[in-house]
Amino acid sequence: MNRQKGEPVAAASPVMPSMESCAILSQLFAEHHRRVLIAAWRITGSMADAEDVAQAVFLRLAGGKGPPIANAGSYLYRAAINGAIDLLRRQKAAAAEPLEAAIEVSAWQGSSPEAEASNREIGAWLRLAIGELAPRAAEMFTLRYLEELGNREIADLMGTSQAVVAVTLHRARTKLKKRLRELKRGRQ
Amino acid sequence: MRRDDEKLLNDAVRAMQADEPDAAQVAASAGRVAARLNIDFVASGDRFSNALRLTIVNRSAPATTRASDWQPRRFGWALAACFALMACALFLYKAYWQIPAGVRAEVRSVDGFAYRISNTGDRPLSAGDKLAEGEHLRTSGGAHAVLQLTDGSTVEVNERSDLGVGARGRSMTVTLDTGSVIVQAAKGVSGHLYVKTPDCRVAFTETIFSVNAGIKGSRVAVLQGSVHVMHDGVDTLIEAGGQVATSGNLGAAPVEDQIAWSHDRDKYLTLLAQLSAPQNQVNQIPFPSPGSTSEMTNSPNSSRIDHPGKKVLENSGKGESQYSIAEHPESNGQPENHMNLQMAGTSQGVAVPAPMASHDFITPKAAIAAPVAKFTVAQLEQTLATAHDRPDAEVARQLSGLELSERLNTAKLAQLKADMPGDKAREQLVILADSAAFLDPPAAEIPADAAPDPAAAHQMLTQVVNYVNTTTRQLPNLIAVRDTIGFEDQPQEDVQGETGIATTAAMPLHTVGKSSVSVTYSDHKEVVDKKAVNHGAHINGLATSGEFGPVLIVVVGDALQGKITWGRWEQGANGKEAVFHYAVPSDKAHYPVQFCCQYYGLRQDTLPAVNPFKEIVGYHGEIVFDPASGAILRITMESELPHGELVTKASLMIEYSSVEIGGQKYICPVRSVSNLKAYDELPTGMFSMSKYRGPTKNYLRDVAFSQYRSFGTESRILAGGSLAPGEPSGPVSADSPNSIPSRAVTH
Repeated sequence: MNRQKGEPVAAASPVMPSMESCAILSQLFAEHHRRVLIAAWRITGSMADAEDVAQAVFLRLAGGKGPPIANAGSYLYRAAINGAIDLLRRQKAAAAEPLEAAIEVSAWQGSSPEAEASNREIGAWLRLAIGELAPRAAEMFTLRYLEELGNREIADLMGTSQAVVAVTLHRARTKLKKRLRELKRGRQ
Repeated sequence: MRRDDEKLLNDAVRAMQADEPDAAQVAASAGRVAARLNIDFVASGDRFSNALRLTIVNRSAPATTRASDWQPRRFGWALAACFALMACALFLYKAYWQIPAGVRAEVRSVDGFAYRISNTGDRPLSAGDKLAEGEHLRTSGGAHAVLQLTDGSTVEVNERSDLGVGARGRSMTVTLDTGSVIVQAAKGVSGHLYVKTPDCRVAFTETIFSVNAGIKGSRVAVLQGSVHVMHDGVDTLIEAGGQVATSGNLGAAPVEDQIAWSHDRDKYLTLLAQLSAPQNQVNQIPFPSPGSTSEMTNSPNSSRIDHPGKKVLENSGKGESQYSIAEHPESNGQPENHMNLQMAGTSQGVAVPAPMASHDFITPKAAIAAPVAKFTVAQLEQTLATAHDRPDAEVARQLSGLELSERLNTAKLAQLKADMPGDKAREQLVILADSAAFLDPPAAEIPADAAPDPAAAHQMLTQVVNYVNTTTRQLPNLIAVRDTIGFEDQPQEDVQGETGIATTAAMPLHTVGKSSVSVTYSDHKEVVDKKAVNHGAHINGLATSGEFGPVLIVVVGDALQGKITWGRWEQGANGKEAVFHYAVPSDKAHYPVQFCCQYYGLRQDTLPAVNPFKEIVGYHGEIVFDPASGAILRITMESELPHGELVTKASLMIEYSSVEIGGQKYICPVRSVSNLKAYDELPTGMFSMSKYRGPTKNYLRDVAFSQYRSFGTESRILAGGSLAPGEPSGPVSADSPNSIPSRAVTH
């Protein structure tokens, strides 16, 4: 419901779906799991985190906290993005690199090892910087530049105007550029 | 640099976009998530098309492969225990938790717009519609609705309220997330009835009461009968005429005001009139600070209005406090009059604006939107007298609900800060003091001395001008530490989202960042340690500079071109201080207000076309100075921005004091407060900066300068190799205090 808008998506939840909702959940999971997992993966950069986010958003849907089934696709999509951003925000202080990051290094498809390492590093910087944005700005930036939706689509999805989207994106880009510059200098 | 930043961001975006797992990874992850969700699916990869084909299998269906493993005899006793437990659970479930079928409430009437919020979408509600379990009713601004529960109880719903009705067994619960309701319980109901807010639960039978729930807490007032209020594990019985609040931030509010929005208020007033319980009312006030008023939400245009002189509350037991409300004599009968809240037995009254002429009750909207409690400095000191013995969070919560009606000077602020029990309370105290930095001081700090005659005032002004002309040249090369605390609030916003109206909760001023940077004043220029700034030792958004001299030159120079009038005397920490008021029209001003950014449409590539907001506007303020030397001790600047622009308010206050640098005393900035209010987002379809509307965001910065020390090589050639009597023996600035004044400002 609306009241849950902006509420952080828990990475794990002890509440399991009831039997009668299993069939519906299974169907929704089959239809949307790929989009949810990939959206969460792009933001978190970790398959384990993406799984946590996916579990949380499907559980919320099963718990009757989501919208009607007809809107479940866009709900799950936005919930996955918001959950992943929230996870980023909570993880930004954690210095330890997860084990799966080491596995994912080998799966990286790049032109050269140096370029791959550089891409991974600036990708990680951007994740850190997105986690420091305001939730609404982070969501808009993710939808625009990672999911490549248009301003009109974002405005429709988030229930606001294109003007607000444009200004928010501009401010978000300014903040991100500044933060990336700081992170780059910190490395140097 | 900008191109590099753009490239870096684009590279980072591309790196994240390219970061996509392959199908096998996704399938494996999907399998793990499905297992955690207790659903099964089989993912089989088609090696020719790389497409995933999922087969969904419900675990609840019998699986033939598992049937052969089932051996009930091995688990006989365990099964018996399980069955017994299940039977008990079923009994308890039916008795207390079973959700009965059918509707929960029927809408009897709706004025304005009310919506049903449910899993099937949002739909407008009208009279005769029914609410089911899990559905919520939400009223828009100015709306009013009446519900009848299935047990016959009625619930009157005020504007901007959100509630649902649920049933468990024989009990019914009205869940009020936000807003106000008045409940009339039906008689002869066998089950339990509850109203639940985010922080309390009200149990009732055969009674009439109002509940108001907001972000600061809940308030329950009883009109007839009695209710049990459960809050923080404590059950409190409230009798008719009484009220209780769940938070210390919610001060007392007359019950009449709490039901003023009701269509049946006349009936309720009759009920209240039959109650002779003034003592009970006083006893129910959880926040016993004399003269305070407190409501649920923040608005500058609300106060209670009553007949002139009508007694509202009286502490008849002790006779020490009497509260009365009367119209201000100068504004009698005017639509925008002021009401003066006077207190017998206390030193001062508090003037609060009133939105309408005198009559019994304010409109529903104004009743809901009311300010936080306004305190004088004396009342604040009295309230905080025992603060150090109380928990930090409690004191912080109490302070967050206050607003000062007069300025809290730096010395008292430091004294009170020292008595605070912890950082949270200290932070709230700083917010409180900084928000009041542009107000007049308490009456006790204004000596009753006569104003100087025109010749004396002119002489003082000449001294001020001479001081400004010389002060920046007197300052040696120095280093100081600038500690900044940034506070911002978050306005409440309602937007039409995909699944209905989405509300961003309002947040009061809170800390958004702290920074500590070195500021170097060298060769009459102020330089901030850019290295520290680049490494994040700064707060985005509002920033100030120029406290060491340029601000004084600009303000005094502009004021001389505008209008300067005598203000008052003030009692400062080191004696009497003089205050000039000044006003500078926009055509004479040199004070730019800057803010990023204003939006003026879309470019051809659909990216926003934005410009930094920068405007030179008129401003006014005060110049506080030492009448003997002309040394400026405090300066304020409050901009006069036209209505409807991006920035609605920009103010700056700087305090100067004597500090020792290299053995010599100088007047240097020690504290500054800057405050800016601007629209946070554009309303739909607005493309012009003259059409900004809606809530504004408040930016507040508290800056303290400390650790002054001299900087660079300083030498002085002394004639005769000896010091004159009384001269300091330490290093002295090359810019001697006796140097010839510059002509930066002339009079």
